[in-house]
Amino acid sequence: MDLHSWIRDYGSGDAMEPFSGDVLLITRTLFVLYFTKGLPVTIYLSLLGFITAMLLGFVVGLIRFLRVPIIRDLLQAYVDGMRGLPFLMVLYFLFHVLPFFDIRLTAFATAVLALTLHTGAYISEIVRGCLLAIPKTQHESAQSLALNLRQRLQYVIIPQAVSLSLPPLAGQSVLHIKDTSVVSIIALAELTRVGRIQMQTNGEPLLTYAILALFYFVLCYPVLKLSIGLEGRIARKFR
Amino acid sequence: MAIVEVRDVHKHFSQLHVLKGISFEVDVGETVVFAGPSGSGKSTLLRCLNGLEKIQRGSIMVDGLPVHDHKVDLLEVRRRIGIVFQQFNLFPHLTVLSNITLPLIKAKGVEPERARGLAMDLLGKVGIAEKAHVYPGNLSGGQQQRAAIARALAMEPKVVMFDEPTSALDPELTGGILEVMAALAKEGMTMLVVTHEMGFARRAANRMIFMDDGLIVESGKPEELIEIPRQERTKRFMQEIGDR
Repeated sequence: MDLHSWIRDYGSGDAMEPFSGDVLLITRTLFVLYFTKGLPVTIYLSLLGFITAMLLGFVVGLIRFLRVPIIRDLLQAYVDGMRGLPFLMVLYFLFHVLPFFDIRLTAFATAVLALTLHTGAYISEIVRGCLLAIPKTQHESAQSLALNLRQRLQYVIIPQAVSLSLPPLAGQSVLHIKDTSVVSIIALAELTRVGRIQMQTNGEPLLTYAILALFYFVLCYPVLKLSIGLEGRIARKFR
Repeated sequence: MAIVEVRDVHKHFSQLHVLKGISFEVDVGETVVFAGPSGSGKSTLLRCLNGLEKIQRGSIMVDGLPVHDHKVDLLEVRRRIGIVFQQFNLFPHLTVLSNITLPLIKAKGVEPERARGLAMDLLGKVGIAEKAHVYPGNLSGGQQQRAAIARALAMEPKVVMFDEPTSALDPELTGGILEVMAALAKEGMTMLVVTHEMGFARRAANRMIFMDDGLIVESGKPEELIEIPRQERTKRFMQEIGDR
């Protein structure tokens, strides 16, 4: 069965007929638009959002690990809040509520802010967990060698926690990339929104979303592989 | 001259009374072995001496510094009294050489070049100079403990404590470590050693302190405590470990 007849049979038979000749054209258009319009925005959102989320997550995780009084309770409320709310709701909240307080952000800025707050909370938990995973004996050993708190963290604890955190961080970055598709809802033309708009005009949902899926997969799969690879390497290192 | 002075030290872990009034002194150049059943508070006592554990009552002076005083600079205390742990506790992400040079450079402000030279000398002394660039994970337990001893010595402490340094080692590896320690004692290093190795105590220690249930039961020359203990509790312990 060739692609034409497959596409035709997949739809409602005769009703799909007018489009069957355009499949190659539609495919090409989709690839071009995804590649030139959607992909750059998705990558930009992913990278920028993840970098800011890493910064936020590191600071939050470290402060909670060090149990800085008062601040740690506030940060725990933030982390619990983010983990207990749907990302879509956070996005809506920022998009629709901030203007009431006369804070007007662009769709892009809102998206980055929402992604940062959301992913940052999860990353802070990874950071905190990895810091807690370093045995107490390492702290004591470093203390006994007259290293002060900053030196102990900088040279002994954090370097070990960093290698532990790489696999879960890579995993989180995949979730983050996929979460960028949610921001299509606030009219940001990233991959998913480009796909939805194209689908409305070309009337080929299967083709449109199949190619969209391919884009996301190609984006996420190497990171996923990296995560799995790192996990193996660290398992061997800390055996 | 006493370099370590412990007076009526009490230590509680919440409800648990671990040290119930410990007093002793250690003179410069002396090697003192602490023996006693597990749970008697020997390790806790060592950990109190460098401030890893806070005490609730009593006083601890190390080289003139009041360790019990919450205002004391613990970093300064720890530059003067080193410790070697049962589980070695090397930093797994650093090579053996860096394990030694890191605290030298960061905590003592030694020039990196000089720190490396010092570290290499000490690694030669403990017999693992060829392992300088290896990560701890690739060393045997005995080699790791040698590295840990070199790391503690590199700080040039006035006192070194050993917390069951051979208990985590295979029997055939303990001899080498004990030799290194005996040589150190002979050089005149002030040492506090928690160990069940009575052979080492006889050979290298000036004095033995026998502890049980958070108290010092008796102390004296190692051969006296091992062969003609005055206290029933000491006698029983010596028989138990002798039977093994």
